[in-house]
Amino acid sequence: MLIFAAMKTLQHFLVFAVTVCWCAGCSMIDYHPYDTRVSGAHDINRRNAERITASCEGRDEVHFVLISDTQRWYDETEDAVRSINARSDVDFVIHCGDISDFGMTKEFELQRDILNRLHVPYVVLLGNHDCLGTGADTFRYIFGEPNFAFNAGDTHFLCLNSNAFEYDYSVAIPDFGFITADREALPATVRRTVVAMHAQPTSDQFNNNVAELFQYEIRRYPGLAFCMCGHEHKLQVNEWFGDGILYYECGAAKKRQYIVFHLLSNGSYDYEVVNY
Amino acid sequence: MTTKWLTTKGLPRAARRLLLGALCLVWLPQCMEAQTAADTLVVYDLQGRPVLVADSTVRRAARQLACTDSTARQPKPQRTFYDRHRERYISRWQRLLPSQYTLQFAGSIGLLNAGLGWHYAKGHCETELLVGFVPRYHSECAKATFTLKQRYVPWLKRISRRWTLHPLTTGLAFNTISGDDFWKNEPAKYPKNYYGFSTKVRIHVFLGQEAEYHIPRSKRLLHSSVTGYYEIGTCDMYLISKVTNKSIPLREVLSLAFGLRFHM
Repeated sequence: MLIFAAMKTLQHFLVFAVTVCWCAGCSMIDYHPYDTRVSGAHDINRRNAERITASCEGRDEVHFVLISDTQRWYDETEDAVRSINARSDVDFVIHCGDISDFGMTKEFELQRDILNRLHVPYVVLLGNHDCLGTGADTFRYIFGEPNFAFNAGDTHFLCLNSNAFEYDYSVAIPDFGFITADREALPATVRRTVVAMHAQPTSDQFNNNVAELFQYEIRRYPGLAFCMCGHEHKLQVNEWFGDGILYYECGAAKKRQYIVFHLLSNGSYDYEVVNY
Repeated sequence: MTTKWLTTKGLPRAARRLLLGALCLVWLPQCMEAQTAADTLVVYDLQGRPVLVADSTVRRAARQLACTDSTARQPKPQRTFYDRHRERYISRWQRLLPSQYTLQFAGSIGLLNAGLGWHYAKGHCETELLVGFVPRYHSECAKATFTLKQRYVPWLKRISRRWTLHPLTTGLAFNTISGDDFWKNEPAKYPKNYYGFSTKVRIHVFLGQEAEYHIPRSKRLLHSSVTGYYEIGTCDMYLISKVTNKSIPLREVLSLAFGLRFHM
């Protein structure tokens, strides 16, 4: 009798244990927060840049959203995605970096999965938080190279890694080699340029020793309209170099805001700050 | 006076040596004979003929019959202060011998972890040291991890002669990872509390269940029992992400571990 009772207890135990493990499935198997073991979509920026270029082909008006610093604000990021999806006038979204808080692999996956719900393509820049631990490696695999560029209609978008401080100024950041090569390969259809980065000149992450040179280099692009960034978590517009080029910073996701830019056919632009 | 004839003082050295050698030659075999006689047992076979049995054979037989040889009883050794000190010293250090060996899969502390540990407090507490590894995947190199794990088992339920269930286990683990990419404290280049956390040290909490199988004495090879276990846990960073966000599914911040533990 006792043996039967014991067998039964053991059976129940085993059935329960197996059920737990089965229910948990593979998604609960995690090797390490920084393991860089990524499941799901990767190489996002290249794919989405191609989609953006294709969808904006031949257009002289481009409308896009700037969001930034969504780290560890998943609820707010979801609301932002919902809010952007409710609009019909947006061609694509640019995320100005700090998609993760700790640089953990799972953070990139979770944020990617939220942003994948956008009805329009998006690209993500590298933020300083994204460089922590193995974050830069995860970023490179999921989103792509930290320096990249794409064309949308008649506008060229230059997206740069500006987190020089995070790399101890030992890596070419901003990468003037990339900027020069990119500028020299521009198609003739480009009339306008927008430069995106995570940390703007004057910030603690930017290599301020080359700030003037950086400004000189990006001004050599055709029709530089403005620059945009994130990092300091607050909405601000600055003209750092007295040359009429404005730096727009979008607040972090906790501020529950994003900026919509309208690049108009007459060469000017317009923007609106949306609180959601 | 009686031994005066043995006095060899008057003889020259060579003669003395000769005499001593001769004495040895005569006396030693006699001694050995006597020894042989003392160490043998004379028994008589069925026909009444005497048979000599070597003492070693008798002792062996006695050992098998579990009786003691009264003639061979050793005097009780005198335990000195040093002996007692030495025994205490050895038994204390012996307590530090690992009492269990562990193999664990996953659990956010490495792909595969192996280590040793100690159980104490009548099996209610366990401390483990684990070394694990994380494959390279998309990073620059594979990484090693080190974990200190403390487990508390509130109930030990012996359900049969062979099985003991631990319906609940709970504990804490501290995990570090190798590599230059990680720091325990923020490097000096950062302003104070620039990030405010460590990328190297993770604190884990977990709950789990275990089943321990007691190997029958005759089938034991290296261990007396084997425990199979699973644990569901999370680490500080996952926890803070979940606490501040409703939208993250629970399964994303929980981590499952399976393991085997071999007890000595």
